[in-house]
Amino acid sequence: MGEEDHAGRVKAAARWYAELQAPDAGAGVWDAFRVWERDPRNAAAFREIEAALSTLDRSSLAARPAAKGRAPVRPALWLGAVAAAVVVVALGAATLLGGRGIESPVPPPLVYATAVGEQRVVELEDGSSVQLNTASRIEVAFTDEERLVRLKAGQALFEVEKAAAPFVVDAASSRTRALGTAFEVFVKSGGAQVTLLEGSVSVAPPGAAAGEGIVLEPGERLMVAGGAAGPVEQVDLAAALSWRTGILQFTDIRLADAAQELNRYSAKQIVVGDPALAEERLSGSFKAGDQEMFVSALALFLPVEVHRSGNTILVAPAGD
Amino acid sequence: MTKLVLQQLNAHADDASVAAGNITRCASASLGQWIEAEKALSPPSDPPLTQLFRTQYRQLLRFCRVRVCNEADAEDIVQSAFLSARRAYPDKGIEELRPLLFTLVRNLSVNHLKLHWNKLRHGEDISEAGAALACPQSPTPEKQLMDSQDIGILEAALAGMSPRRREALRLHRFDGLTYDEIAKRLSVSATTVKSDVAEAVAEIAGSLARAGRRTAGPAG
Repeated sequence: MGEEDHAGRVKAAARWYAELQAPDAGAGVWDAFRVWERDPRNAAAFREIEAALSTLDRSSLAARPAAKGRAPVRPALWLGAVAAAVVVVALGAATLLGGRGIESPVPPPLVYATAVGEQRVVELEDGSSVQLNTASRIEVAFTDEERLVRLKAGQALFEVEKAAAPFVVDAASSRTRALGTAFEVFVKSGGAQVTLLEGSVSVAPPGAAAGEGIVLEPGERLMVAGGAAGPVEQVDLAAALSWRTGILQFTDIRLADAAQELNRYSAKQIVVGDPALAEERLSGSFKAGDQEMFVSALALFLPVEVHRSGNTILVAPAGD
Repeated sequence: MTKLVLQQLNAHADDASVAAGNITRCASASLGQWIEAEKALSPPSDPPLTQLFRTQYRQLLRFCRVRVCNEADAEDIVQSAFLSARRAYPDKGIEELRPLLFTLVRNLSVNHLKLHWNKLRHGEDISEAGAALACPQSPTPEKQLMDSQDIGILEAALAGMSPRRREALRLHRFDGLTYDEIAKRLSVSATTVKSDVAEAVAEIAGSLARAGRRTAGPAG
């Protein structure tokens, strides 16, 4: 298993070498490479590739004359080629800066993240999948004993393939352990909230033994903060997981909480300017990221006026 | 060159006396020492390029050396990139400048290598076969014996390799062609060329590792 694992890493290292040599490789590829290389086993594999290349440089392949019959290249043509390369390079950089992933030959990084307003489904190497909500980040660290994922920020829905090694999610001061199952973890207000869809999970503080922890049943939710677990609550799963469709469903919640939830999906931040107004309760379904639609809907049934400045949308009581 | 770069970058600084003080200190110290000293002493209000020079120089140099094996050339390239960035983007912040620096280093490396390979094609600088190498090596005598074994293993791996893969590797590593150029020549896609190169490199690394385990054990 160790040798097989190492062979896989050497292959990945070779793909990184090829990727870094591409004329359009820039900061994006380099940063992804550095994340991959942070694992000492990967760094060792890359050193092996470098050593192999230095041997290659002294082989017959290096000394072999260029293929016969090639027309001599005129400098003018070369200038053209350089200019073309620069254009290709600029396009490549734009694609990378645009936040799109790199093409398939790149080994998957160990860190997956989404920007504000972005959602993304990630397939993990064991066949499990993770759906990341807005502004979320996970780190994947699988070993033979344990399939460990750290949720560093945001919210993620895990659909876990059955396997011998337990699937473990560390988030804030919580550790959720599962075999084949589907559950969501959301890092918020200093803690982690775990919601179970299917199967069974146990939630415990990090470092707890496998048998410890609070076992959830489908439809149950538990908040863990500062090492202490709150009460187990029943939730409406359809509403709780509606974010996957890009629609946020609110049922009788405070305006302040609705604004906070909506603000997760947009650079434009809704600010409720009045404490009494913040306590108003509302229900409804809203498109994530469409702040203007929410604000105009709000203006229809509450006496509010809206002031915009930069990325701030201030909602205040009308009149005065 | 390094001092010049720092001077030019620091000429931008609001606090000119601090910058001047740093340059005096750096006159007798290596760049590494200078960076360490800088970390402790410099105010956080340094211009973005000076901060990036401090924090990203090594990374950019390593990034460059993946392509350009000659250390001195790579240093020149990275330093030119900083100077170009200062001329071209005087008002940009760190977040914007960092990717631009990587792009500049990459473009300058591409140009540098084009010139290098172009010279070789025109018959300049080829006094001996070794000069045609992208990364010429001069191993010590005791290393040469080990090397000759490794080269033998590697030759066997090359001989067993599919011809297209071997040719893609040769054009990439020893003719300095880009994946697009190789793709045209071999009538395949650039993506195929890239994966051919990766697989060729993995193949030779794999056979060297297997041979190493058989003969010398894990230490070899």
